[in-house]
Amino acid sequence: MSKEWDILLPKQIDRSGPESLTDFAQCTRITEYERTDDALADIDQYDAIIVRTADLSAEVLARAERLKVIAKHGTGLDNIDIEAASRHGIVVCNTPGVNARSVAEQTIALLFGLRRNLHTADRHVRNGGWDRAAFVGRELQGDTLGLMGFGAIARETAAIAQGVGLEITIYDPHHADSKVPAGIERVDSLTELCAQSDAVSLHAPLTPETRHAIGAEQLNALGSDGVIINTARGGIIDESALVDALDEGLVGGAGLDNFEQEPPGADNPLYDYDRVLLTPHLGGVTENALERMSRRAADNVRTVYHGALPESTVNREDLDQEVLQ
Amino acid sequence: MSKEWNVLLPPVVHPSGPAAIADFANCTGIDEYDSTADALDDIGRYDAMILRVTELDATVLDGATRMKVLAKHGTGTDNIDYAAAARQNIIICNTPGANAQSVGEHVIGLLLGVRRHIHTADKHVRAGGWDRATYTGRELTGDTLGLYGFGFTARATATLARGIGLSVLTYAPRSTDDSLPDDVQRVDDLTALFEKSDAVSAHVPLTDETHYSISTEQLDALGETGVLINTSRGDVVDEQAIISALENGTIAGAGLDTFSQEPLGADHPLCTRDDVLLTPHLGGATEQAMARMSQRAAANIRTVYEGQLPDTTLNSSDCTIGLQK
Repeated sequence: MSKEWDILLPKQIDRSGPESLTDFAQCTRITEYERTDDALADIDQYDAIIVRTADLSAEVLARAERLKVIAKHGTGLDNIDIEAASRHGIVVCNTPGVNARSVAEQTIALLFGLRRNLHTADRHVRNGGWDRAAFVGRELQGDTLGLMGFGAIARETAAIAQGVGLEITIYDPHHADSKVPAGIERVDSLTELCAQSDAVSLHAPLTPETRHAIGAEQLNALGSDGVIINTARGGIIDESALVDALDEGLVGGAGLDNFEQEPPGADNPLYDYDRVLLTPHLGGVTENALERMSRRAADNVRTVYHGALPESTVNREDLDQEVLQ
Repeated sequence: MSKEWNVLLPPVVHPSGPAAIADFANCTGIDEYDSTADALDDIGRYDAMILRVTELDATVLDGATRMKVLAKHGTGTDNIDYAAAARQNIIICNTPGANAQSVGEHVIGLLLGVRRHIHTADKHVRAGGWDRATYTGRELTGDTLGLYGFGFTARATATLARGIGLSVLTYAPRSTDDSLPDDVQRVDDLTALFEKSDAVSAHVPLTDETHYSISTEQLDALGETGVLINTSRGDVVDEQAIISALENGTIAGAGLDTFSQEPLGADHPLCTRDDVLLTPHLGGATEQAMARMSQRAAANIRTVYEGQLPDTTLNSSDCTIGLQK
């Protein structure tokens, strides 16, 4: 007997989510088609799609006659024409917050990595070196970590940082005092945050207000022993100011998971510095976060199957409610 | 007026220790002599010595006629001939635990580094790559860390691990139950520690009993998602068994700060593996640990100067008349 719903799955997804839907759905991977376009040409066969990066344009959605829900695996919705989805009564929802712990741990990993020279020491040993004095590190305990922004990821980062003995200071003009836990200091400017901290980690979205918010003035305030960590968005740091500060020894180092341009290219000037630790936007890329995304996206599909709207629905106001019936 | 005591210092020592005894001590660095041998030829004029790795054999110590105390900067004293020191009634003391926080932080840094592939990801970005899926990591939160041994460094590691959201187990046959924190569970067998843990970190001295005590049986028990961390001594682990386990996928990775032969050398088979993070015996090598060791060694010299035995005296039974010297 055929299942009631047909669901299209992305190329890569942890199996736990799809497996949880087998009572009412049969799932087809996009890779079972020769090309993504072939799969999207067949979109009218599907009741739901769990989507990562496939482009769901107005043209594709116009043919999605049976489609009831687009469950984004992740947060960003740039690849989905939400207006077109709303016109066709398709629920669009996502999985916000599932990678907060992963990003927070990446932040702490970059901080430890920089302070203990893990990447350069590893390179040194592999090249046959053993110059221990060249890699003398610095303990984190007792240092102050400054957090720019105090949303979900920053709060997870603060909890871990306190757990390993760091003091926390925050700068977040959009955050109410009442929501700041006891034991966390608060300052009124980003430069002040940098001046008071041994390390500063960025946890803000990229907006006109935050673009290049970390420039020469903030890096100077952080100082020659200070390090900057970015697991948020490239562009918050003025990279050319950072390169200048590294060049002049005005800042101690940088742990960067995000860049103004991604990929940052074959000959980025940041590569000239051992005092930077670079990762390719891996903050949220863990098995654990991928499993949570898979499960939450699948849960969202089930919620729509049961005739309700997922909590993370982004086009709630624009939906023609009858279509849900 | 000349100071009352002459104190010989190692070539590299944090200045805070010698500064703290400047009221009674005239300090001379070994590096002020043409060679270490020249300094040791002159040992007869010193009342005390802060000592790192300099070899003090019977020939040297037989000439140390004014010497009252050998203050080891660090823990291990295998470079001192105890019998010769006893003949001169010289007190031997050390600074145990001064680097425990540094080692604990290095363990957590290595564990995060291996789980998030930070060294290989950094190399990948610098080479112009951006293959994010290759570097999918794993969160620490909720995993179990097994500690082999429960001395100073394990204790510091346990505190950090719990702070970051790990559960902690220990196999420590010499620690009494009431010396363990409430939330550190004990297991009775080394292989069981590996079986029940997602990562295991070694914190035992190298003895006949611990030599090669981590081998194929333990690594099999750790399993294919498990990670081994070693900041203790290289030969606690059977290095050939680690290499085999990594080659066969029996374990996921390793973070190694100590090796059977140090320096490791570029030709060592570990040097070509991406699933290991290698550092050149840096566990205790931080500014803070160096400062603490210097200050505690100097404080031990002051204690002897004031006619007392330091708490960390290692040969008190040999030094019954040392204080009357």
